[in-house]
Amino acid sequence: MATVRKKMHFPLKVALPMVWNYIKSKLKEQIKAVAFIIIYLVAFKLIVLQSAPENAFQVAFGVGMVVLGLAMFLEGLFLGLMPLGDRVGVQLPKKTNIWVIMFFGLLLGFGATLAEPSISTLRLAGEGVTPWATPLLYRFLELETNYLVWAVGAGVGVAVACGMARFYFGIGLKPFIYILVPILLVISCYFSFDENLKYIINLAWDTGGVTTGPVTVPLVLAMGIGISKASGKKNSAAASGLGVVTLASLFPVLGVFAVALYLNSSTPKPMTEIEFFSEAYRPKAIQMLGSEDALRAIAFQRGSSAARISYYGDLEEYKKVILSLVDDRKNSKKFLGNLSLFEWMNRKANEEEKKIISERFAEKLEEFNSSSKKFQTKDSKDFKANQPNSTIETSEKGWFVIFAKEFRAAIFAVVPLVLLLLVVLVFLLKDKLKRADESILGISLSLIGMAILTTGIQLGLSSLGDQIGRTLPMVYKTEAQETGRFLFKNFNKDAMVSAYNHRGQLNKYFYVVDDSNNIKAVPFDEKRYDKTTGNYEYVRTTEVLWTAKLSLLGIALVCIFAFGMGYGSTIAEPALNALGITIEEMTVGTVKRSKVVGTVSIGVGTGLLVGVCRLILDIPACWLLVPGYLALLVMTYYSDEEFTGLAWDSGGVTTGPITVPLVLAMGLGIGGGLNVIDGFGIVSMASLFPILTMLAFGIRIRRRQNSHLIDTEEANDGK
Amino acid sequence: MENKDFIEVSRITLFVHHGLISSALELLKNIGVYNVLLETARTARLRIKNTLLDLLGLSDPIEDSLTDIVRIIVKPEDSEKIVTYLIEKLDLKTAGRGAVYVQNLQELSNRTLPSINLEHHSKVTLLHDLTLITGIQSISGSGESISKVALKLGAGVPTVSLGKGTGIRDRLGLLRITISPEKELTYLLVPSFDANGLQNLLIEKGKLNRPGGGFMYQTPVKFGLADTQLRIGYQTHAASLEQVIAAIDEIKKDTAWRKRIFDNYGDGGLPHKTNYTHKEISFICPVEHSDDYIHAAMDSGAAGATMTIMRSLSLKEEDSYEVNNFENAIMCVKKEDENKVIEAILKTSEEKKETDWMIQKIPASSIYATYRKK
Repeated sequence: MATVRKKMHFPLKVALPMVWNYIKSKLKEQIKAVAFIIIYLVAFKLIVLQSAPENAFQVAFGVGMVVLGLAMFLEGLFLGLMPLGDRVGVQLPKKTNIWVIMFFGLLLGFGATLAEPSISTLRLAGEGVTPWATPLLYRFLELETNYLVWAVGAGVGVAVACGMARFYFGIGLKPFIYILVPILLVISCYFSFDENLKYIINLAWDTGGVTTGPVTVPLVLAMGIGISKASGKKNSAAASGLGVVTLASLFPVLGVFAVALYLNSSTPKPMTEIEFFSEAYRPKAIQMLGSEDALRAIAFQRGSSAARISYYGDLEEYKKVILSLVDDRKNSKKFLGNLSLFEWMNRKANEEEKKIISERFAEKLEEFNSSSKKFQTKDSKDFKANQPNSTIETSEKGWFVIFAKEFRAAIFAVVPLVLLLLVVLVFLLKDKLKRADESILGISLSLIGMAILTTGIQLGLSSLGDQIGRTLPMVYKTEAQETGRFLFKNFNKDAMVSAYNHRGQLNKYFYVVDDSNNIKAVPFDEKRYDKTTGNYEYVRTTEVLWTAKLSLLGIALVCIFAFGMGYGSTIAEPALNALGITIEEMTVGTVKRSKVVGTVSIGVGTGLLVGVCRLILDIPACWLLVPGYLALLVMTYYSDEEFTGLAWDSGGVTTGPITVPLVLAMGLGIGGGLNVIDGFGIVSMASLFPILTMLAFGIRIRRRQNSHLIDTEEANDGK
Repeated sequence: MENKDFIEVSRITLFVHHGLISSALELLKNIGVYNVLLETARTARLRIKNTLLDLLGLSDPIEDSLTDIVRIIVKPEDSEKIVTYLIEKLDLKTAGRGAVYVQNLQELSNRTLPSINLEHHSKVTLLHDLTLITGIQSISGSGESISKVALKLGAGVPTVSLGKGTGIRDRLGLLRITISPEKELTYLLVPSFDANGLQNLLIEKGKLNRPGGGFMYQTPVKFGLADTQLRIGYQTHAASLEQVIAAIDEIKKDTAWRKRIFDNYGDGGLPHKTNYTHKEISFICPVEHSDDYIHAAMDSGAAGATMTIMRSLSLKEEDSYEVNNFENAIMCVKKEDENKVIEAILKTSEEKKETDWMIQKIPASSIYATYRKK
């Protein structure tokens, strides 16, 4: 055995600058990675939306945390997680057989899916899914969520097992693609003819994109490289260590399709909400949702007023319930769930309901402050609680609370996987870590880094993205968005002023003072004035940004925004950077990391753009998926084996901790503005297009590298 | 094992464009060479373009292409016919396809040398006055990469592979993570006359003389053929300058005619001065096995080692090759430490009861290392 090596001791004076330079270089790298998205978001907010970022201090603090978290997490990957995966990968084929390896892969894939709760983010995108319009989708996302988790988990497990077997036997990735992708496309086409199943297509393809998270990808990648390093019989290029991520994005789609088929037979067909909430259907509806309370909550949270009237049957009784919402705030949770009354009023209520509520509010306000005739929010705490202040909410929660929560999530994402690998390494393979101190440091770094990163994203990036996402529909909607409604009792007509517009028409205005004491002139709307009671209902709206009819420009702006978001957030994505560095090493620097990251980012940007356009123009999913993936098949045929794995893998790693919250904020904003059923389909586009750009990039590189070779060969033929 | 001694062998190193690797392996199989060590590398060339971006200096003038380094060990008497055979069949005379060279060295291993089944007489002229410059440089280092400097100096076409360094890094404890172990190994085949001058220039221009800059040395080459395609792309003459040089080399049958003048850097027009103060020892063993050997070697005098990953192919089967991953640990040790280091390695192998390894040693001269000069 080797002798214990003497350790050199450095005085602090030498060691500190070394550590400092090291930290500085790592931070600089991440600042570069994050810079684009931050500048882009702030610029978009300032120039297009013409308002300064809110909570600037908190956002800046969050961005700082993102940089620090990214640097720590990435370094942790390279020091701890990836060497661990590599070590296990190298030892597995030596000391066990293929069945153990495949079983281990299955376990690892399944465990990774459970550990990285990316599926829950999908549920966020399905907030507007209803049990009447899309019953199957609703069952998947809200009722039998375990099915989804199991389908995806099994998919990823099978994928990792297949991937490991591929490396062991030296099978190329191409055959898997040629078989799996057409099957998935045919099923998608078949599904699009069924009124229930067609809503599953987007969800299924999206799960393929989100399953592979920032911990799983590098770990599986390193393990694959390890296994292919430890040899066997091989057809040289086939087993490079890449390709597992690809399979892990394709198999879950198949899994979701299978479960959808199984569930579909026991799922009712789509119906109107009036039918769904009618007395006649009540027993079945309760059976589906579990309880009467759940059914009622659904009517409030996801239905329109027609649903609620249908549920109560009687209009008077329904009115009483609405009034009780205002009076008994605590009880309203049972009806509205996490929505505040204001949010509910804004999103779900119709004119009638809004009127009832705002009248009731005004009454309460009068009781509270009878002397004031003019509306003043400042006096009323009660009212303020109903303002849309989600950003304030997060800051009130405090960053430490968020950090503690994210830290728990990070432990859950990192520790079980690491433990699984360690147990296998120590007990099954009877081996130990090559550099234990380094690995422990790396694993702790990735753990803390991930917690800091996700906290920073919540505080900084996604709050910034949210500010834009929420207001984004403004740019393509020509009418103003409503943000609040207030009832002015005994409206004094004398307070009105008259003003001419440029066409010489005389209009009536009155002044309103807002929270920050800014006076604003508002046009007087005759329809909102009730002559009999003397009440005026004031509807607060956003500023209309583009006064002329510019909805086409608006859509173009949304597209530019989507592209920039995708591009910017993907550049900073840690799993992609890990893949990029691995690829650069594998190709001895002929494929540069920056080129890989850039190409993939352009692909994600394009994918988001297309996905958003799909939402706005309401194009069926199949119309994009089928031609898109067919194009991929053709390009795969023309690219060589080495680049195939590389390109397809980069499609799977794109959706990570930075992209998902930002993209979701945007998808929800746009989807909410359009009243679409669900915001699915964006992620699947964001995984399709990077493959496309990467394959194109690979074919171009190869052609260029071979250019002088081909020339000489042709010259020889001519001799 | 103890009874075995080092024997004289020839190591043929073939740098071949990645697009030609399968035909190269096929050729080797045909002549009876079944054991091949394969390393992935890149070849850097200057790309001459004529666009606005170039005028502004915005585009990267270096273009990399994937190259495979094929190493085979043969009997010294077989080396010339194999090399000429490869040059003819792979058309290596055409610039840009690859390079090949032979080094005579001493080897200790359990492998038997291949018996070559080849009758080949060729008129291919080989250059007998070449020297191999090997440069090892930290990737994250501050200086310009050796390959770029070599291209700009017209020194030759550099071939670069990646490795990991161990040395003082391993003695730092956890502080070691602040130093990246990633190294670039640059191989440069140059005329012997210019070797010292070019090496000095490379050290100066590549800023290897800064702390942590890198490591450079020369090993003798028996004969070979260098790739001359330094530039690709836009061309303003019927033949490129490199093609002209290659043609004159062939006529003159040597490279002495193009001896360069290096003001203060070279040997002043004198014949190539060599001082073989060191030995380059390559220890090749299955992947993840070299740690103990390297530590043993370092305890007995080796300053450090650079490890590269190689694939060991055995070509006997029809379509697929059996692939095993190997590690090649390259160490430059002082002549007087040579035996101590080799003994330490042999002792480790006895302790570990491992036999699947090779030791190759070749004299090395003009060692340049930053950490030695204080």
